Amino acid sequence: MIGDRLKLLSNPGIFGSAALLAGIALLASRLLLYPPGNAFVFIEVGILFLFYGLLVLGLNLQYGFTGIINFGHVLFFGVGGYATAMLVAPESARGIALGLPWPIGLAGAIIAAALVAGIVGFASLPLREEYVAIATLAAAELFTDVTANLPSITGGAIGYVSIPQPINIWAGGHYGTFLTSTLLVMIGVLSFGYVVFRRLTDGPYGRVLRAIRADKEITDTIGKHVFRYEMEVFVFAAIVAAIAGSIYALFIGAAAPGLYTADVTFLLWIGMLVGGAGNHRGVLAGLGIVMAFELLTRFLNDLPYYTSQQFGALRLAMIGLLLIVIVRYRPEGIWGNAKEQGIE
Amino acid sequence: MALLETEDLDKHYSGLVAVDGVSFSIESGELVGLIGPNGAGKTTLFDCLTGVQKPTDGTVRFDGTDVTDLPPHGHAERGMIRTFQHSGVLPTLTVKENVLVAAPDHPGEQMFHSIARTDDAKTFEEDIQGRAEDLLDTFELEDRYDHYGDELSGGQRQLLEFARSLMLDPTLMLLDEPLAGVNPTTKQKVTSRITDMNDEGITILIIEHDIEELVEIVDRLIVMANGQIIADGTPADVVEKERVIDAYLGE
Amino acid sequence: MVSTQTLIFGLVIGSYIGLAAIGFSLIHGLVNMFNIAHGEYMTIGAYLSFVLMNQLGLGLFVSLVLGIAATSIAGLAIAKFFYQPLYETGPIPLLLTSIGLSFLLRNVIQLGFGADNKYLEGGLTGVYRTDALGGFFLQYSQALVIALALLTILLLHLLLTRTELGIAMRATSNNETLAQITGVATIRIRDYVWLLASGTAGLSGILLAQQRTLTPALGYNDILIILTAAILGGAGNVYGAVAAGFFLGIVSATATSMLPSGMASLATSVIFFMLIVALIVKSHVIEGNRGVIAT
Repeated sequence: MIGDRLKLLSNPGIFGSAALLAGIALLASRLLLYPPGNAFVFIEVGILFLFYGLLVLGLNLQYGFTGIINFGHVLFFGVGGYATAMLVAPESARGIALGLPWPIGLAGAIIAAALVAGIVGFASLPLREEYVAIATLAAAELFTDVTANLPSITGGAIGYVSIPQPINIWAGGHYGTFLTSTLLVMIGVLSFGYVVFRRLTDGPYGRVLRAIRADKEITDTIGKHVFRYEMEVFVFAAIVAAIAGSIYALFIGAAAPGLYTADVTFLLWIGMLVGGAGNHRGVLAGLGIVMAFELLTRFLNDLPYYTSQQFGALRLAMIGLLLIVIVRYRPEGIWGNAKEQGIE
Repeated sequence: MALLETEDLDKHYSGLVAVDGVSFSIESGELVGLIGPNGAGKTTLFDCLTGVQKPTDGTVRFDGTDVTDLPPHGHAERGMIRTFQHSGVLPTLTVKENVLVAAPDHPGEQMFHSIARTDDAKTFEEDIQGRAEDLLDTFELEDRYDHYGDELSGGQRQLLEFARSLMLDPTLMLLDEPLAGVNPTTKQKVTSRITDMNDEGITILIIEHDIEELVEIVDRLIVMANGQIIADGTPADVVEKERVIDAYLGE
Repeated sequence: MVSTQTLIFGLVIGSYIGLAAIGFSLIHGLVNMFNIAHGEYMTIGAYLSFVLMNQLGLGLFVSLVLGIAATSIAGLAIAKFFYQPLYETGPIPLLLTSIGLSFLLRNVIQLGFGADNKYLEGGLTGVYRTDALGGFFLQYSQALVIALALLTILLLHLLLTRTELGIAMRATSNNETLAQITGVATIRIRDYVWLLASGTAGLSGILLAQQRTLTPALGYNDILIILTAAILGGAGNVYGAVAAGFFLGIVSATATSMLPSGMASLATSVIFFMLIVALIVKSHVIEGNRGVIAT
């Protein structure tokens, strides 16, 4: 009996709903939670994992399923963050700030992402794959450059620092409760995202995407409008990323160019390749592994001989090496399907 | 009205003329062979006919409609299906998926229907499962449903491409060297399938390099060399023509 | 109109971007990959010259020669170890590997030399000033950069037109379509290309280190501009890459001089914007063949 109940929980839709409800209940109950002091950093990284998880699912849809090489995915995370910031930040902020309620910020993020993705996708997707990579990378760099250099429009290099944080307000400003309820809510959001992505790819739609990844020309010849599918996937993933970006801005109360750099894209790619492109749970696990590695090595900063800055360099060198090794020896990642990924 | 006609079709690359003023027409129900030495422009012609490449000049008309500038999926939607030399089988999909993915107008292939798992999508999918299996059985691939595309032999891939093409209810099929890479024992199977499909009313245009393979089954032969048509008639007539013999000797 | 001073800055920047773009473009055309670690080849050259000049006290020109030679060999070795096994797998695995290599090399250099700013000693000092042409000054080290860039281009031209190797390289790389269709230059030719590309990258890095401070991110900071120059110039077209390098150098200098000081780094935005425009334009100009477009 209990076994059956537990099995229900393994259904991500139910699991997600449960988490979301738990989060809301926590906030409504006005319970004050005091996680142990050093648990905070784990919860914070866990929350960041959940946000990045939405990004990696979108990236996986593009690359693992459709064969789109997007090196600028963080762009849409940033578009979502900045759109929300501009709509929701109080008028006292530098840059455009309209002080509107947060749901409008979220809606604005979605609309902005759809527009930007429409333009970037239309310009980049017809190109050959390695040029798509470069074009999307350039678009993302352009975004961070421009936002960092227009103080009166986007707040410059500092960006927005006083965006209202709805969950924090509902938690009465109590950090422990704020973090825990955010964690629960985001588990819910990611679970829903997971369900949507799974449904998209499990069915006939996913079959067409995989056909496109296998061979664009052949797939078009059998009657599928390849460019339209690529645009749909690109824009859809962008919207999901922007939703994540919007909620993230409302979580940390800030939006700044430094949050949306190519380092994020790189982390997503490594996580996806390590876990196994084409496998939703795989890429989430891969992302988790890489982020866990980075978190745990932070505690080793206190080793003698290496300063923490040098330790950072060691960590980055190892990540670079990891990427090289994966591409060379295990391109399908830990959980990817080599046959479906076209690896001999 | 001819089913397929081209008028002054040209295809140039910088300095290279691949297709040069090609005009011909094909009537419904014909089984036509397109032959010529390597580099004659046959595959480029196919590409221009099916939207894979845009002709530099000239028109292509299918069933009365100008299809010159249509992308490949537009041609497929109208019933003009082509196969590929060295296999157009999708290697990372299973044999069955290769056929299923060709099914046109599948509601499940739209984002909303896929996410919402609508009944329309589910019913359609069930229907095509049956149809795909029937087609695969006809082409003797019944024990290969779950094999991946790249696990098949050359002859099996060709048959798979036929099965997939039939899923699209073609009016006209353009086969690009269907016998290339097929072992001699399977060649007979492939050619008899081609005549079967023609008997069922599908108009067929085949590119082949070797005349002997085609002569048995086609009503008509078009010969290309250097981007131009140099002969067009019954196999008996064409094979006699001096120009044809020269073209083949010259290579 | 652009002031002479800005033009000079532009030529200097253009010199080392153009030099680096030569190598990047050669690799793109003949090995069919974008080598994102190309910036690190520049950085290797720069740090080698640091060792030679600051630590071993060798003179400028000796260090240049040794530095270029050593970087060529190092670059080839790295390519043979990391890239060669993947030559047949296509541009994306190579691109991903080059990104990983970029992180690896850059951070290993940091581990070895530290992240602090370093300054090359033993470079040319001295400045030429004049009031002619609206007044400008030209540092001797800047003149050296421009002169060496021009000399390299001349030598490269001779190599490409007068030697067997050069002619073989040109045949495959000048025609973008041909390069894509044939795709394969022999391993031998590719090895020579790596030597050339790494050597010019090393030279670019050494010259760059004399103009700016030396840090592990020296080459990485400019990789996107170098890439832009190579793409603007056309895949595998070294003359185009050099010309585009100078062009972007002048654009960058002009933008910097025209923008209000708080927004100076918008100059790089201008360059990225040009890259995106170039890609869009190329995708429509190359029609019907397998240039930059997929189906």
